[in-house]
Amino acid sequence: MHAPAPVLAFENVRHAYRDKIALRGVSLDVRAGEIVALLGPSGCGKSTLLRVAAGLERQSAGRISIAGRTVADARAFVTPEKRGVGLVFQDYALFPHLDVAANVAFGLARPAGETARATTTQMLRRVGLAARAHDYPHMLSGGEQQRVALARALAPQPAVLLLDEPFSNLDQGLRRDMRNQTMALLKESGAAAVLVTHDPDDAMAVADRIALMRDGLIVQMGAPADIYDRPVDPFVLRFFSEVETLPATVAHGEATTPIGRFPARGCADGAAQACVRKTAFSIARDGALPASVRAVRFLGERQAARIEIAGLKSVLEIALPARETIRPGTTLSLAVDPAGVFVFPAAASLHEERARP
Amino acid sequence: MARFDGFSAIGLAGAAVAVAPVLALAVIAMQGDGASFGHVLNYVAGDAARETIALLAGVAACVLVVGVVAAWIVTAYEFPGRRAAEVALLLPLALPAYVLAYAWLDLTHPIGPLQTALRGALGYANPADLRLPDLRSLPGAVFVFGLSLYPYVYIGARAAFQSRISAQVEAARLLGARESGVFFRVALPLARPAMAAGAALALMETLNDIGAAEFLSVTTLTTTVYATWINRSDLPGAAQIALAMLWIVLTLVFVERWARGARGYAPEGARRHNPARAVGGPAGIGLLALALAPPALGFATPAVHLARQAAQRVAANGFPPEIAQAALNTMVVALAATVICVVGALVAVAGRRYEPTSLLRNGLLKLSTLGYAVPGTVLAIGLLSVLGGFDSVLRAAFAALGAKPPGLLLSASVFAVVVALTIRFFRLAVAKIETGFERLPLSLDHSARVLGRTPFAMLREIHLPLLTPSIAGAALLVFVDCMKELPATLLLRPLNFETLSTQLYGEAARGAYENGAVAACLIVLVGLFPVAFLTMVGSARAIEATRPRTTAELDGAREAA
Repeated sequence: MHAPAPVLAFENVRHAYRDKIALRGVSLDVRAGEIVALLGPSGCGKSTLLRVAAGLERQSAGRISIAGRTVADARAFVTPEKRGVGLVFQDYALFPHLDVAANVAFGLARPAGETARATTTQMLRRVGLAARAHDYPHMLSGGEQQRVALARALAPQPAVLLLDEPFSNLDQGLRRDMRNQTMALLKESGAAAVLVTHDPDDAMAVADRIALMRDGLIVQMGAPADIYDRPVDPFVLRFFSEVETLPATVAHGEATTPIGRFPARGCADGAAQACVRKTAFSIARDGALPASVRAVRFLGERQAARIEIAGLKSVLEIALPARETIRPGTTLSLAVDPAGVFVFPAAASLHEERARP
Repeated sequence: MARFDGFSAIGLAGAAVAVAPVLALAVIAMQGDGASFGHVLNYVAGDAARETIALLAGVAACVLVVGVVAAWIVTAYEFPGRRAAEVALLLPLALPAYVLAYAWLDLTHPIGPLQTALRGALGYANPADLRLPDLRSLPGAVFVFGLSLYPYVYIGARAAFQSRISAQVEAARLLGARESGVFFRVALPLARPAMAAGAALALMETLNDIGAAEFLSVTTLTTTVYATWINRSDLPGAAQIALAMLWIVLTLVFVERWARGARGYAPEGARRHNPARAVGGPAGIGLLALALAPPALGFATPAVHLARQAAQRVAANGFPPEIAQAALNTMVVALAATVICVVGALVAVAGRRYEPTSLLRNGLLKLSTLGYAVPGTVLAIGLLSVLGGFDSVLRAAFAALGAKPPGLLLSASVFAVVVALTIRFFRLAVAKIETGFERLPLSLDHSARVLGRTPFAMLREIHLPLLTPSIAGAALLVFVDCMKELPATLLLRPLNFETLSTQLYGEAARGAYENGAVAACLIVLVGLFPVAFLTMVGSARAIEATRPRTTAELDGAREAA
């Protein structure tokens, strides 16, 4: 099958602010109807990439094109008002002196004619706010403001929609609803969407593809399941799950660790590190790994157990289902799911400390 | 993204207009020959410089003592009438120093109400039998300037005492410090930057003044510049003295800047509840009397006197037509300058906001606000030089065309007055509008741009409606200051063109106190508006500090619009 041409394309984009390098060469294609999440810790460059795409910032080097037209490179620069992109902000940025309908109609052709009015009404109906058309932004709840912001951005039918942390001002329950609604609206609009977030749950729930960024570079890109199951380094792994790191020795494609032997494809022989998800452990009668329990904390669905294992000086913290009865001082028999163990070269831990979201 | 567009062009024009007079001063001053400069320095400006320094020193001491003590009384103690005293202490801001001097001269005149009453009480029949010290002296001038300008120190010191300092004062008290110890060892050092900044502003005003010094027979550099130009028509000489004044101003600007930077260690945080000590009974009444003394002398007494004089005058002869004309002239000049200031400030501040990294726009904005520190006389002399140049070019052009050369077209004209007022008060408008812009999140701008608006369309559709309260505030401040301005207006106005302030000056200088009181009353009345504004802003800011910056907060702007 022939892949459709990208609607939004970044080619080797670099950017530096006065005293800081923000992007070190980012290339990324987003196709129509696709949602790509830019995920990463603060300062990784994800917001800069969004600003550069919108034309709010001109990149230092590289090329950006929208629908096949170059909008910014070394010679050309199309100003934001002529790019035809939509933008949704973390604080929604609704115009406080305009009512909901006027906010949504703001990006439509002037003077506002029949079509503009019809579009506005239709957009408001789609986000379920038709009844609030003549209210002012301050009269709306956070979730309603978010929907107005989305309707305003989508009303001019932009080819590209950019969303900057759109869910981070919402509380948990509302957040889940808004993710689903937003995804449905984006899919319906057919725009190429880029969503910036620092929350892996947001990214996994909404995105078709995730681009995980660190220090101005995309570290790994792929479908959520892909990136979750096959992280390229400890940074990516730690971004999605809590892990414990153990020493390992690799020989002939297999790593020997204090909790067992695991396949280690692509790792050179010698010292390595094994990162194991805290949830990879389970209690099994015929488990191969004896562990003595030092302490237990109840966490709701799970419980955290601090355990000691022969051959390991430090204490490990693992997560076990809450229904199991575990008492400090007893010895458990554990099984380890190999899908939750990742072996990396020892040197790959370079960025570990600042990698936490 | 830095482009040279309309915003940059207007900014450049503004900066050029603001800088030209100062540059011209330097050029003109160099034209005067060395001998004349020596003469000016030795015989004219030397005495004036000494007297100016003495006046500045006296005023500094006076405003610091009055301002700080007043601020301490209303923040450290709770007594009946404290809140009223707190506001009353701001009132002298409504009276320019020259109005205060005018009123007090009239009050203390040998046959004025004060001395007449005193003689009556003591049983003297003849004015020659009881002689009070003359107000027309250096100490008299220090008294008048001190009363008029202490609010600059009072406002800063009060804010400092109210904010973080209260926590320190509380701690010091708990640690067992005595009352005087708390004041001298804790409160005073922490308020020092605010005091220095306030005193520097007060001294700039003193240096700027021409009326009060003239009425009180003090020869300052300002009055010397005026005399050198008006009486001796010696523009290079006036320019040389004006340049010397600029050095003093520069020092004061540095003090003010430094003080503002040093405020870092005593930031104006959210206002806390004051650890005010309740004082009742006779001690409380004593504190109230102490706090009310400065506004009583600096506002109530002169204002009541002026109002009575004006009422008598109007009752006897009706409303003087020349005052009506002067009021109209004042309105025209002040309105024109206000409109230019506000529109210019809006464009300049918006231009910088839209391209915050543009060195050009930042630089232009800084340059165009320089005029605030330049004394009116200095500015006027500089402007005269620039406009005089234009006039000679015009005359030459007319002569070349065979037409009859006109007289002074620009150098003494309403246009010149408006330009001077604009240069001088541009910064007031900029500061007010900057504050307004800072409250609008940048995401509003970005949304508007992405939704298809050019910077200019965004200014019109988003920023203008949201900034209406700030724009109104800026217009009010600029208008009132233009209306009170004396020195530049006095030097630049065309013949027989009187504003309220020059009318007052003319009568006082002639020793005739006929319609002056009516003009003074009008000035004071209009001057009260910004004081009321200041009082409201003070309380509004306290509320604001407790609120997050949300869309809901911005809505206040919409409703005001």
